[in-house]
Amino acid sequence: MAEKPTRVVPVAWRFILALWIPIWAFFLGWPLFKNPSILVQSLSLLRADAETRRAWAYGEGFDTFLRFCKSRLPEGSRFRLVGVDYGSIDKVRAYYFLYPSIVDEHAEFILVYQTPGYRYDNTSLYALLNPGCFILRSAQPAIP
Amino acid sequence: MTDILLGLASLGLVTLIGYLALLTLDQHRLLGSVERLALGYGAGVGLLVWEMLIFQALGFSFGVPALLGSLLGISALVFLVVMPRRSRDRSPEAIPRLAAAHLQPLEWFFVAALVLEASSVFFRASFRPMEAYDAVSNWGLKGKAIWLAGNIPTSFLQNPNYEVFHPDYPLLVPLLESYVYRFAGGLREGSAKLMFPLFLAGCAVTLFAALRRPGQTRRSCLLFSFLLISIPYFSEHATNGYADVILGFYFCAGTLYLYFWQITGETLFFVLSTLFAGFAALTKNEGLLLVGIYLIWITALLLWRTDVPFRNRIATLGISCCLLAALLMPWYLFKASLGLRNDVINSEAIKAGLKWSGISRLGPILYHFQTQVFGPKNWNLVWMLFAAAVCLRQKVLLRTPAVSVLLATVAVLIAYVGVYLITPYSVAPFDVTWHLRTSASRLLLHVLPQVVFLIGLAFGEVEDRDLDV
Repeated sequence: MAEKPTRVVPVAWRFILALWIPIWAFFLGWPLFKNPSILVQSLSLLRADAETRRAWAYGEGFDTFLRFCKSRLPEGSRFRLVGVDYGSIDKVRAYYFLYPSIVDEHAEFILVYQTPGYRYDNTSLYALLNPGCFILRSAQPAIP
Repeated sequence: MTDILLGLASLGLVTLIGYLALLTLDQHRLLGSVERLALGYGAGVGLLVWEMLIFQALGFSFGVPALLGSLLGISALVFLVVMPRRSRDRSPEAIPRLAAAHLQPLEWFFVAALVLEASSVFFRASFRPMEAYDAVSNWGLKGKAIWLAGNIPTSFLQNPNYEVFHPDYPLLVPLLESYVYRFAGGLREGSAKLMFPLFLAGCAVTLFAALRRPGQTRRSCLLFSFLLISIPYFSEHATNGYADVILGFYFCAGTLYLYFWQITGETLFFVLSTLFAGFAALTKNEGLLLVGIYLIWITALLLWRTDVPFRNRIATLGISCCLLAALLMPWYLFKASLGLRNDVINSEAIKAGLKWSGISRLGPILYHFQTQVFGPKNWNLVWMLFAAAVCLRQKVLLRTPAVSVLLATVAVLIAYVGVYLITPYSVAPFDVTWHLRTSASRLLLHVLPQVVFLIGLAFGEVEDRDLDV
């Protein structure tokens, strides 16, 4: 159906657009203006693999720690985290990334992140990434 | 690129299922092609998830050939049986098409802005992994667990160590993510995340069509679609893996097609609104609110319409209840069998929250919502425009059937305020302010498309022609 040509823009629209478009354009362009490298970084991520993207999102250090844990933990093992705040996003990212290894209060493995010198009764060093990030293994069998 | 193609292929087949179902239902060709495609995506997703819940009840595993084969087979078969009969008495489409030619400069601007925003959302959604809080803790983790198990692992949902991740929440998003992973043959987050921008596009198309139906000009529909998609908080939430834009789509479609049923009496709109209200409740618990509003709305309409025989009115209500029960039963029976319950809204919270002292929370709640209204960084001017529309255009919004949409929107907002009045989070740092800060702004996304629809009705430009709807 042909559209009836109407050239005059209603007054209400002029008012809406005069306020809306500058705000839209400002908040669209401001992050790029503040940090132009975002665009280049984003474009490079488009061609990157999943691991590079995750490292960018999670942070290099935490991503390295998670990949280290994943490679060392036996499939389906039970773990708990130390050195990550209760309410932090890193905690839920770790739970997500390490699944099907699951969280347990009485875990066989304790994943220690950026806590040098951390010790726990009846555990021994299972794997070491660096002095602050390592995995402890409980000497006692895990409570099912 | 492979992720994007696999994501589009998996979701394209789901859309085809929904499209065929709507094509079969749409006897009088009341839906435009693009509108049918957008609604078909939402309907296809809902049907697939419902089928997965049925599979779970029957003990079948979630194999892609079984899931798609049965749905595609049934929808294609019904379509082929019904269509030849219908094609003989085809009526013209109720919604004028968006002709590519003759676009005026202002319309070109809106089209360009829509394309820019939509491409940016697709781009950001596909390159960002699952990393936002609820995207991983709530939806992503369950999606991964379902994908690895090949069904819904009940032991995982009952594990007390994961209780914080709301095991009682409906599983539309995790089930759909697990389907995409299965289709793609691996945990391809870039593929699964395409579902979110597709729902954003669905919202924009539904809004366009909804404004076009009462006779608004093409440029008016483009303007308000642009306003919706350019709201930063809305587009951001179509990239980060949260379920709120999906619920926004189902809320919008459920409400607007009920409104169109109210003004036209077309059965198709009634069926669509029932389907989308049901799918909203399969997406998030807040969707149950839409189901409640939907039932109150229908009951009120049926009581009011004394010209319709009583038997027909009871039948209409009965059909809608049966359809909703059929959609929701698989999930709620499954949930009941596991003994899962909500950690925020439950009988204890309601009993404990019904105290006069809870009123003192109104201050922080209203303050928080005020920061949203005057928060152009997230919302541009949409809430101020909404307030202006209600105040200045009472003739359009309060004295026409559109008042039903407005009342439904206000009812949702009041219910959400009510949740914060009784929320059990009362001790700092996890008090009501924390609960508001972490969730309240997202809840506004659920009603955003219908709010923009109301703004469009108030300030839109009506064409000088009569539409047959």
